[in-house]
Amino acid sequence: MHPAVARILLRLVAQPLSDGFLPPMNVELRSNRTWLIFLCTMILVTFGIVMVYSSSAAIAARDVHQRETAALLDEHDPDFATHVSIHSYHYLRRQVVWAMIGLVALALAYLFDYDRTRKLAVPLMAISLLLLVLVLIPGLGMVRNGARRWLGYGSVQFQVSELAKLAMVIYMAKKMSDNPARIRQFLTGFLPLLALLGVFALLIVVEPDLGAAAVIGLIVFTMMFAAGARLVHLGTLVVLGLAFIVIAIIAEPYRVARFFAYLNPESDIRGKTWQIYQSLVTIGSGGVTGLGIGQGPQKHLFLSEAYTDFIYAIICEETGLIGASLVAGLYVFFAVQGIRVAVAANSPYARLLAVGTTMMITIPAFINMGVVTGLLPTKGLTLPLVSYGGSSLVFNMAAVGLLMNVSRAVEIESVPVRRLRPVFG
Amino acid sequence: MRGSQYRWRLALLYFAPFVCFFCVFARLGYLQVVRHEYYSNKAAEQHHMKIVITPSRGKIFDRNGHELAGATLVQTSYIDPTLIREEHVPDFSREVAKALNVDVEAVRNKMMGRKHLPLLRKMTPEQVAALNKVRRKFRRIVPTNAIYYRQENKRYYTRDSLAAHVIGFAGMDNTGDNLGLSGIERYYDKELRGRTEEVKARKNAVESALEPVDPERLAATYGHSVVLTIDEAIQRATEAALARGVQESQADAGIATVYNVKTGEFLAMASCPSFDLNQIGGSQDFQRKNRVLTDVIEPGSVMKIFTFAALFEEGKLQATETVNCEGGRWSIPGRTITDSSTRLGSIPAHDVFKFSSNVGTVKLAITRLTNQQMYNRFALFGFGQRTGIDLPDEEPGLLRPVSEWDGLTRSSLPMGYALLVSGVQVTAAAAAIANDGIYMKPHIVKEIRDYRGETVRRFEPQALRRVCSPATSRKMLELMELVVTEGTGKAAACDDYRVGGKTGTTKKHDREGGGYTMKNYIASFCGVAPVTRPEICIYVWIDNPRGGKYYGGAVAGPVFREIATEALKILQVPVCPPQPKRNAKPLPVELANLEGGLETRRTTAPASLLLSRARAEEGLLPGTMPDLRGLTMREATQRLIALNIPYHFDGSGVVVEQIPRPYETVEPGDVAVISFLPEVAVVQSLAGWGGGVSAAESSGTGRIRTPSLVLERNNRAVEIKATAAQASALGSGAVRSRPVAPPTAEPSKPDLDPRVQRKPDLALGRSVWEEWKRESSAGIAVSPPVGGQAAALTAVQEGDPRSADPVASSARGESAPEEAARPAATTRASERSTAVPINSLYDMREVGGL
Repeated sequence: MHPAVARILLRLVAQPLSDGFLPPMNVELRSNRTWLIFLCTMILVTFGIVMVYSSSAAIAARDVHQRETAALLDEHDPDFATHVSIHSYHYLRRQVVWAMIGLVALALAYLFDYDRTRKLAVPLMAISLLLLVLVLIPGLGMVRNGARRWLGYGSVQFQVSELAKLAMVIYMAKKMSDNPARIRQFLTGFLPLLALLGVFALLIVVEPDLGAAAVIGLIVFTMMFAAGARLVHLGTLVVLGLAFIVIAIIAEPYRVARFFAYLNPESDIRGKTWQIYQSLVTIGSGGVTGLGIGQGPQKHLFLSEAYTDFIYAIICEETGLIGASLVAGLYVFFAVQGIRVAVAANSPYARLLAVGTTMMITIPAFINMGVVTGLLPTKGLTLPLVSYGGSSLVFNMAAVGLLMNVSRAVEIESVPVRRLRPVFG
Repeated sequence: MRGSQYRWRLALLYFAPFVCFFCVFARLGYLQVVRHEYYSNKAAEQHHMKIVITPSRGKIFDRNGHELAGATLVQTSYIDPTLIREEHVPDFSREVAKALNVDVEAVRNKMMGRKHLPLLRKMTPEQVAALNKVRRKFRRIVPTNAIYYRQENKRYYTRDSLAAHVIGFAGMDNTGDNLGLSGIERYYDKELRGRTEEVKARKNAVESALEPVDPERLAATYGHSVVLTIDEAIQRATEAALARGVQESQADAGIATVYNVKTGEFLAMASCPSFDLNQIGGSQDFQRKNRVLTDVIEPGSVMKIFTFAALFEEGKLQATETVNCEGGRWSIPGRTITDSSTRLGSIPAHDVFKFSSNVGTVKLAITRLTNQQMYNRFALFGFGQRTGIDLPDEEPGLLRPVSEWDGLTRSSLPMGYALLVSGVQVTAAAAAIANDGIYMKPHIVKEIRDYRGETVRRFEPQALRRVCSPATSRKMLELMELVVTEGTGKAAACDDYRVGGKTGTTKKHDREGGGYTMKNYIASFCGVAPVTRPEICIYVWIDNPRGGKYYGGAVAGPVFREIATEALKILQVPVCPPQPKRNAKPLPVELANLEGGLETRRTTAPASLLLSRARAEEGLLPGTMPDLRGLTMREATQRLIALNIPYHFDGSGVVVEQIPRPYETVEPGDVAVISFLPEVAVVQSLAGWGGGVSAAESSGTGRIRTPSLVLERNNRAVEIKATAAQASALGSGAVRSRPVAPPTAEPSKPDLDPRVQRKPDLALGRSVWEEWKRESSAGIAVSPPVGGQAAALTAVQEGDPRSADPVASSARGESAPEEAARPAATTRASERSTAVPINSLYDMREVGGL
């Protein structure tokens, strides 16, 4: 097909959506940051879908087998009675559906004028707070693996902390940009934000979801840092945060166990260090080139949480050092693009929003990689955009949408040739 | 740009991801490059498991493919106590014990131990389900693989005690009932047990294999099946007859063998007392002994078969010469030889055998055979050494070399003392004599098959050596027949077959007193059937009969008779009743009739000779006399010229008698003497015997037909019609025939007896039946009715004699006794015997109204 014809066809399809939704045709691709962020995100999400299938199929199939066997032997066993039909595509299918929803969320976040999200900040915060309280109520919040983190009904569930994360980013960006200088005041600027963060973090820790709380803390910390908070305040916060972490670890026996497991992964292979040891085995056996996607044996129940928290280990195993580095590199690339947007942004709100959304993806990603490779103690954290998990995927993609929104706005300013207007601006 | 004073902070953030990436990359490099080897090994260790495939034990079949022993794989549960924490043991063990209905204490001990132990072996599916329920219930605190399953063999024997000694039984090893302990199970254990395979398979973390075992490798584990030469039906008949014989004589034990003389295959091998293979615990050693192999006895007079054969072979005896039996008492240095009860003087040598004279036998043997000759001959017959039959625990018996003989051995051996023989040895040796002197290797396994049923190994009949000449073989068969017809073995005579044999009554050696008791005996009989063309050899002995009778002929003879009759019928050997006498010259019909009536219990008419047997044509060996009876002169000439046998014809009409007799060997230079009688005379002779005829005639009912005789010839019914004149000439001797009854709805009911359920035979029988129906109805339709006294006669050969034979149906009304006397078994045999179109003899006898 002739390139001119292709361009016309693409134009015809793209026109009804928006001039801005697709990268402007008159701007060279490599200079279009928005497009690169989108491309990077989609690569991660698509690759994530592949890896979710690779790592979950065996587990899903085994569940099917168990249920069928149970049905065969005794159909009246209530433990095994389930209305969910499960097969080896189970997690793949759900992840694809969630990715579609995430794409819609991304589009929505992208199409609205980002500045209008300022108005959403407070209601979002209120809703998040309400839900965070609701999820703690037994009967409403759904328990999985001993943690009450989900709201929902049946197979449709929703992890509240993911919404809270996004709400917090928007709210913090708004608060810090409303009066940029106030953050340097401890009592009027710094402390209220910290208190709010404390409330949220506490609610999340109680679930318990220490990982999510820590991530929110770190995101807000980074935003404060970028917003110009005093280094003394931040330094104190670091000291307090570390103390808090130590206390939190000591308070719960399983965290102590995890901590020691982190220090010596081979001390109790059959028991407490099973997970991290298996993770190291998984990564280590991958080698430079990996065993090939779908070929790794570790997902056959050796590595627990293979398709959520430890999906990066499976990536390391099946695609090797090369694939794992590329994935890590994509996150670095994403972070760099996000911060460049922040640097180029002309308003404090845009800058902080860019920093916040970028960190929302990057921080958990690197913490997760650190955990999986044994650099950090084990946390219940997923790899954003890649791991299985509906709400996480949707809100992270919405965050990417916001980042792209800001990026586009920045680019409009820097490209004087043609002014592109937001669709619903 | 506002906030530009914090650009350095953003610049710092800009580099943070690179730092993180560096950390992660360095860590990955360490794990995936530096320590790759280490973790790869760790992974490989945990990714594979060994699967032990339990082999499925092979089956055991009889010669017709009936399953005698089979195996199924059942689950056995094992406990892995290392996976059960101590605090869960009380609850878990209680529930497990409750589900399986076993002792709690035992389960608890196994859970507290350190070794993997079987929890319950050979579980039923219900037990497995119950146990699984408990495993699931406890799965959160006790890993499900703390109790795991393994497959094990469970052996079952479909026929309980049938051929128990031959089949033997299997005990437990780590693959279940897969350790042959006796009989075939032990001898062919290597073939039956299969191979335990260890397969390396990928597994997941909960010890389940990720892929199925390669079918090829799985197939390689199966044990082979063993096909016995035993015929289930014959074995059953043999066991029944033996058990009855032992019970009636209140004896301790007994054996009976049925042996195919041509192939060396045991068709049946029975020991009494027996046991149930499915309840081995309930039996004792004395019941489990296969006495045919393990019990060696002094054979007594049965040995005279071999003594006489030796005498003939050495050319030291003519059957006609006379021997002085000294009145049953003969003293030689060191001992006095006595005969049982008959006081015999100078008698022909064949009478010495017939009456089992010890004096005569010993005198002949010690005066005409050297020690070495005697030893060599007996050793040639296989005594004193194992036959090599494929069963364990065979005893070699005892035949001392000449150098070890004492003074009495020489005079003891000819009458069956001073040596020990096993049942297999006697059977195989006597069979060799019946088989033209060729000793076949005795065996009891026909084939080894793989699990698909394809033959892996076949045991072909194996001729080992010649033990005597065909001439000696013939002479011995004649002598053996004499024993049954006129001598000590009359009780062994069969109604339907010509059989021969030798009785034996062994005085048992007294273990305490030394010497021989006069109280304990072993009654035995070794026989061959039919003597005209030996098929089977049967050896029976019954240990310590107490019921008053103890002679071999009286105790073992009836057992032989029963087994022989049944076995021959099961083997579909054509019925061939004993003849009155073997005459060199054919007698006129009337004379034959007279003689038959006088001399034998159940005689047959010379007319019976009319009936040729189709099987004469198939597999007729070169140099063997064909069966010409019933043929016209031209047909007989053609046949004899084709076989290049010189002949002399006597008379005219159809062949009624021939020398040599059918199937006898024609020596070069022999001239066959063939006697003919006119067809009418044959018909007349048939009519002459019509016991029920006059009654039928006087009743004045029925339509008169032209006498016609349908003869079985060359597999084809040939109708011989008498002319009206000939018919009237028959006079009062004519048979009035009834109209042929239309074939009844159920010509041959399949017998419920399992041994006759041989489907191909039944199917064949039906087709033959149809064919007959067509032919016979056509034959009747063309025969016009004629007036006067002449009666019609239709003799029909094939199919069900009951409805096929018009005279038999007439006999139902008028002369019932014969009809009633017909043994049911005969009917059954003839129903089945379709491959060979026969039973002509039998039917003719019916026509004769004997």
